[in-house]
Amino acid sequence: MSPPPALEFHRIVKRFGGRAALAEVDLALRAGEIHALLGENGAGKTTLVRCALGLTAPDAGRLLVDGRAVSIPDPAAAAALGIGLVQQHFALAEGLTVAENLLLDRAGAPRFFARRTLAARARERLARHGFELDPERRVADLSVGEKQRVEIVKALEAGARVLILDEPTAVLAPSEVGALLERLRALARSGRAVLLISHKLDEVLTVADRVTVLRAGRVVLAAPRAEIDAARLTRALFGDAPDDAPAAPHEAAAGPPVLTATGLAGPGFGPVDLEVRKGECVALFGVDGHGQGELLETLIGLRPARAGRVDRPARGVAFVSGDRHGSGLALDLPLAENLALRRELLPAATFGRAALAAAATPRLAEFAVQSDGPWQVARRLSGGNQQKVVLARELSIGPALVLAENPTRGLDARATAFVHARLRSVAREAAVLVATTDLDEAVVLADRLLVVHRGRLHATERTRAAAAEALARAAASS
Amino acid sequence: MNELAMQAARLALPLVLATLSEVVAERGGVVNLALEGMMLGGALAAWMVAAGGGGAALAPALLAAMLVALLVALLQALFVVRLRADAIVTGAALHFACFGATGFVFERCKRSVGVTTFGELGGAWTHVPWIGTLAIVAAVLAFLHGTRAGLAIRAAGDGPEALRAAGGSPARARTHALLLAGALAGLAGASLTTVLTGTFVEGMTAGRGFLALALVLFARWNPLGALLAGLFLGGLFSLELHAFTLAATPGGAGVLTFVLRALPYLLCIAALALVGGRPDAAPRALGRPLVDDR
Amino acid sequence: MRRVPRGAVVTIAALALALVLLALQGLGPLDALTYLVRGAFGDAPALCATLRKLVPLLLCSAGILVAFQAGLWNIGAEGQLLAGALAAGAAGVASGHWLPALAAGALGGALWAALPAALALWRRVPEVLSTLMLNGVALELLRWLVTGPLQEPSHQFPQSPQLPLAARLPQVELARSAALHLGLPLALLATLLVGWLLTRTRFGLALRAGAESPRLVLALGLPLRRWRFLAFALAGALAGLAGAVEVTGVAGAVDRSLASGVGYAAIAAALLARLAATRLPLAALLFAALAAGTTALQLQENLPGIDRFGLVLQGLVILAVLAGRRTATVDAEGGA
Repeated sequence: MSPPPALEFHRIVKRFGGRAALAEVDLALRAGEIHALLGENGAGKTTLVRCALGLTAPDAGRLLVDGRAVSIPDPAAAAALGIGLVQQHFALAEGLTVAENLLLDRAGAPRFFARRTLAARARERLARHGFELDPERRVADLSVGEKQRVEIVKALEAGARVLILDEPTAVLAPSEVGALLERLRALARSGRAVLLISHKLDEVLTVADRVTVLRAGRVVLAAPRAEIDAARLTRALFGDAPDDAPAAPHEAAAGPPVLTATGLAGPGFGPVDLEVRKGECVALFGVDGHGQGELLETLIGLRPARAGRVDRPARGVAFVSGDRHGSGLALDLPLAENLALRRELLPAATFGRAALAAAATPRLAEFAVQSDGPWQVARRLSGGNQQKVVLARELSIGPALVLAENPTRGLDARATAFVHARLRSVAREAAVLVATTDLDEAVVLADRLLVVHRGRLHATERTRAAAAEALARAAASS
Repeated sequence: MNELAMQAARLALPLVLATLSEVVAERGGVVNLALEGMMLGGALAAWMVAAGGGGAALAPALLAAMLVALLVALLQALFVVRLRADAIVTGAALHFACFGATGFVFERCKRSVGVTTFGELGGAWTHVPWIGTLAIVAAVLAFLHGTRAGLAIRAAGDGPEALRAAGGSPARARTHALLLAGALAGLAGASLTTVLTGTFVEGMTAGRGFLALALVLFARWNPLGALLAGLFLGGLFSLELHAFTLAATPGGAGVLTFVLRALPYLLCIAALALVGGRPDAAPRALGRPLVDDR
Repeated sequence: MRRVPRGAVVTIAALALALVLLALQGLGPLDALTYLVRGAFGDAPALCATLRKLVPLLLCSAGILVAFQAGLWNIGAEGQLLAGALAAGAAGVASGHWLPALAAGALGGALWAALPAALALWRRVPEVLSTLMLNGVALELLRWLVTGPLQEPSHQFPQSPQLPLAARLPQVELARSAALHLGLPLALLATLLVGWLLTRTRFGLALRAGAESPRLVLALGLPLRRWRFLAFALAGALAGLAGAVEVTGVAGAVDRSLASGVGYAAIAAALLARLAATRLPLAALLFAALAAGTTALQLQENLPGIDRFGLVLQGLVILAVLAGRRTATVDAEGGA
C-alpha cells in the first residue's frame, strides 16, 4: 500500500467574480516524484499554487497533506506543513553574502555571530543539500542560477518536503538549465515531492515523472511521463478544436511594405528579418521573455539595434502598449492632457483648456471611453477604459504603422473584443504588428502569424495547433 | 607638522561621526537629510548641559546631545517609515525646524559661557574623544556585521523583500537604523562643542552634515570608510586654517581660503560625476519607500 | 461633508502649534498674532516689506515648481540665487544699467543649475546631492568675492561696490519708506509663465508625464531628456533672477546678507502650494508675511530669536503637508 501523497489538491474550486479560475482541480504530489504542471497564462497554475501556500483560500474542495485534510490560512502555516516555494523573483538581499541571506531566514538565529563561524555553518548547510557555493560571496556577484540555488536552499532549510518551483528556468541561461533539472532529480530522489510549474515542453519532457495540464481552470490531461509526448502535450495545452479553421483574411491584397527589418539584432533577439505591409496584420506569438519586448522597442526606435537595420515611416507610427503604467498612459494626468501628448491630435505647441477639451472629447466618444469627461485623471478609469484611451490616442492619428504589445493584457472579454475590432479595422489602411503572449489573440488578429522563440521568428499557419507545434518544434530544436 | 596632524584629527572628529551616522541610516535604506539639524541640536544640548558644569558635566552633556538628536530621529522615523513620506522632503523640513529651533533657543538663553573642552581638561581626557570615536567605529562595524539587529538593518536597506519573506520587519529595522543614526549625529554635534570650540554658535555645523551625505559614497557605506573619509577631510580643513594664517596678502589668502573651503564640495561633485550615480556598493533599496510595510 | 481646502488646514495646524510654542516663551498667542499680522500688513511700510520679501521667494519657488513637476529634485535654489546675484552685481557695475544685470542674473543661475542638470540626466548623479554641494560652493564663492576681487574700492566692507543709480531697479513710492520695485510684477509674471508652461504647452505636458512615465514620452518621439534639462535650467534662471532682483532692487550691492535661506524657504512654499502655480503666490505670501512679521515682532517686543521662528514654522508646515498628503494617497489608491 503506497503512502498517501505528500500534498494533494482534491476537487479545488476557486472563483474570482463570476469567473471560475479553478474548476474541480485534482492533483497529487508524491514524495520522490517530479510532477510538472503546465498551462498557458491564465490557465490557473498560479491560483492553484497560491492555495497551497496560504495566500488564498479555495472556495470548495480540500487540501491534504500526507492524507490528512488541512487548512492553510497563511504562508506561515504552509511553511509549517513543509510546503516551500521557489519563486521567479528572488527574495534575496543582493548586497549581503550568501551566508547572511541564509541567516536571515533562520528563526532561531544567534544574536551575535562572527563572520567565520557564519560562513562555516552556511557551507555546512549548503553541503547538506548537495550544493557547493562559497557562502562568503555577495549575492549580487552570483549568476542567476547560483542565486536560484540559494533560494532553493532557503526553502529546504525551512523544512520543505514539498518543493514548488514556479517557472524556474525562465530566468536561467540555457547553460544553467541542465544543472537545475539534475538538481531537481536529486531532490526528488532524496524523498521530496517536487512540483514544477512550467510551460516549456522540452524541459517537462526531460525531467517530469507525471504531468498535469490545466486549461481554463480545468485539468485536461493528467498522466505519467510514459504516456505522453510533445504532440499530446501541445494538443492538451492549446486545444485541438476541430473547427480551428483560420479566420478569413482581409480581402484587399497587402500593399507596399511599411516596416522592414533586415538582420536586426539586439539584446535577447536576432537576427530577425521582418516585413509588414500596408493592409496586413502580423502577429508575433511567443512566451514572455523571448525577446519580443526588446524587438518591439528596437522597431519603434526606443532602443538602438546592435546589428542590422530598420526601415519605418518617419511619421504616423503608433505604439499601443498593454503596460498602462509605464508606457501606455501618464496615469496622474487627465485624459485631455494624455491625448494632447500626441502632436498629431493637437498640432499647436501651445493650447488653451478649451482646445484641449475640444481635441479630446470627440476622440473619447469615438472610442466609447466611459469617463467623467476629458478632465478626469487617467488613474481613475478602469483598465479597459484606460486601454481605450491609449487606442484613442494612438489610432486617431491615422497611422501608417501600428505596433502593439500585449494590447489586451488584463482586460475583460468585452474590452478585449473592442480592442481587437479596432485593431482589425485600422489594419485595413495601415500596417499592424502585434506582439502578444496570448495565442487566441494572435490567431484572431493575424493575417500572418509568426512564433517567437529565443529571439528568432518562425512563420506558421494561422491556427492554434500550428502555432503550438511551431513553438514546440522551435523549443525542441534549440 | 605634528600640530597640523593633531589639528586635522580634531577637525576630523565631527565628520567621522557624522559620516558614520549617515552610513548607518543609509545602510538601513534612508537618506537622512536632517543630519545637519540633528548635529545642531546635539551641539546645543551639549553646550547647555556642560556650561558651568566643567569636566563633571561632560558625560551628561554627551547624553543630552544624543537624546535630543534621538527625538528628531524618532520624528523622522514616524514620517518616513510609518507614514511613508518622502525622506528628502521630511529631512529638509526637519532641518529647517532644527536650525530655527536651535537658533531660537540659543538667542533666548544666550550667555557667553564657555564650556570646558576635553582638551582643556588636560591629561588623559584629551585622548578620550578619539579613543571613544575609534571605539564607536569599531562597535558600529561589529554591530552591522556581527549581530542579528545589524543584519536586519542591512537587509532592510538592501533587500527588504528578503527580510520580510524571512519573517522580519523592514519597518522596524529602518526605525532602528534611524535611531542609531540619530544618536551618532548627536554625538557628532556634541563633539563640535565639547572638543572643538567650547562654545555654541548658531549654525556652527556649517554644512558638515550635508558634506557627510556625500562622504558616505566615498566611504562606500562602510564604517571604516567613514573613518578614512572623515580624516581626509579633517586634513583638508586643517590645511585651510593653516593657509589662512600663513598667507601674506589678503587677496592671496582669499582665493586659497575659497578653494580650500569649496574643495570638499567640489571634490564630492567631481567624484559623483566620475562614479556616475548608483555605485554597486550602495544599498539597493536606498531611497525606496517600503511597500506593504508591517 | 464639504472638503475643506487642505492647504488651509495644514497652515492653521502649523500656526497653532507655533503659537503654543510662543506661549510657552511667555508671549500670549493673541499678542503674538497681532504683532505678526501688524508686522506683515499693518501699514504701508509693513506691507511693502512683506511684498519685498515675497519677490525672491516667489521667483525661486516658481522655478522649483517646474523642476519638481518634472521629477527633478532641485534643492539648489539657494546657490543658484547667489550665483545670479554675483553675476548681476558684476554686470550692474560694469554696464551701469539694471537690464543687463537682470539678464546676467538669470544666466548665472541657469548656468549654476546646468551642471547638476547635466550630471543628473546624463550621468545619473542624484541631483539632490549635487545641488546641495553647489549651494555650499556658491556660499563660499560669495564670501570670497565680496572680500576679494569684487570688493568695494575702500576695502572696508565685505560687499561689492554700490550699484550706480541707473543700475537699480525702478521703484514706486507708495508712501514714506514704503516703496515697491519692479521685482514684484516680474515675480508675478514668472509665476504666470510657469503655470502656463506646465499646463498649456506640450513641453509642460511632456515634463509632467515624463516624471512618472518616461518610456511613454520617449515612445511618442518627444525629446524628454533635452526638455528636462531645459526645465532644470529654467529653475536655475528664475532663482538667479531672484538674486539679481535682490541686488538691484533691495540691497544695491552684493553682500553676505543675500544668503538668507530664501532658496530653502522657497521649497517649503512650493510644497505648501502642492506644486500648483495657481496656489503658489498665496503660499509664498504666507512665508513672506511670516518673515516680515517675525522680524517686526523681534524688534517690537525685544524677543531675541523670534525671527528664527520662521524657519521652525517652515519645517512644521512641510511636515503638516506630508502628514496630510498621506490621506490623499489613500484616496487615489482606492480608485485604482
